[in-house]
Amino acid sequence: MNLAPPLRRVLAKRYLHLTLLGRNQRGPLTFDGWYPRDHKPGPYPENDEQRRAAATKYGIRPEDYKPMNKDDPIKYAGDYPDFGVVTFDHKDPYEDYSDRQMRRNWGEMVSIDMMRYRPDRLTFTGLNEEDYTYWGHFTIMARVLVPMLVLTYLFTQSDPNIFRWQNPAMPKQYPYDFARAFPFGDPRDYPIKNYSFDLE
Amino acid sequence: MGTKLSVSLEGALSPETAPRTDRPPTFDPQAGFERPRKERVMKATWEEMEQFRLKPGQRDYCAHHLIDLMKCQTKNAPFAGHACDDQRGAWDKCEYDDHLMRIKEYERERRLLHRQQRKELA
Repeated sequence: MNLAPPLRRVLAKRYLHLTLLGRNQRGPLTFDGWYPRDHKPGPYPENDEQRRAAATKYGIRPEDYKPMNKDDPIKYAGDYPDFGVVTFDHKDPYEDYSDRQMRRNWGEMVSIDMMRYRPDRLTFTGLNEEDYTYWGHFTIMARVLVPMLVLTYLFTQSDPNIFRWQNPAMPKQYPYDFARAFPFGDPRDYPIKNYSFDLE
Repeated sequence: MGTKLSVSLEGALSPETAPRTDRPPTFDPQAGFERPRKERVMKATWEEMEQFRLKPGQRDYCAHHLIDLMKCQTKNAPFAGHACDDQRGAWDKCEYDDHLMRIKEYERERRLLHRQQRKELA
């Protein structure tokens, strides 16, 4: 059932902390065995010291650090910070990213919803379906196949007297005329006299 | 031998004096040499070539080296490896010299054709 965001936010506010009873919890901390050991978010920070420690852990400034709302049963994630919605289109298109397709640098902190707003999933300025045209497909194939076919034609010409890049040589010399004896003759009946370049 | 491009270009530009590579030489083999040329002799007999079942393309003037190689291979079968490298090298050298002779025949034919054209124009 897809509710409008404002209505959902109202309904999501808990007026009774049922999260303590282990009911209706759907955040990322509600089930075990998901995280590599060091990647699991810590507990919700209570005092300023814990907030600073959490901000340092995640590599954010303490004044920017804002954890997920404790009362939100869907998004509650311990001390993982809340960046809001950060998508591909929010980022600077001209910055030199290490991962250009995702517009993210290596080690950059991501929001907890990163997989939902991935650029190949949701973008307005990234890949567009209408850009994948039939003519584009044909061009990509043709610009490889047409030169391939042209070169094949040029390199498979069998006329021995055209312009060639090779040491030109006379036909090989055999002691008998095999072509004349083919198919049922004996080549010994048709010997050929050949001479070498050694003089007597 | 340094004739890869130049001779082909010459042949393409003036086809009347270009030797044809799909047929034997047209001039007398002994023309132009101060002493007669030696004849090429077959060192492998027809019976030997039949015994080793050489293909017609292998029954050339290097067949005796190939037969030596095959004898060595059967002796060291099934894994001849590098034991027959000497024989294979001898066969390769003989084939290489034969190819050089083909190139020299082409060059001789080409020069004789140029000479013939010069004599016709003079």
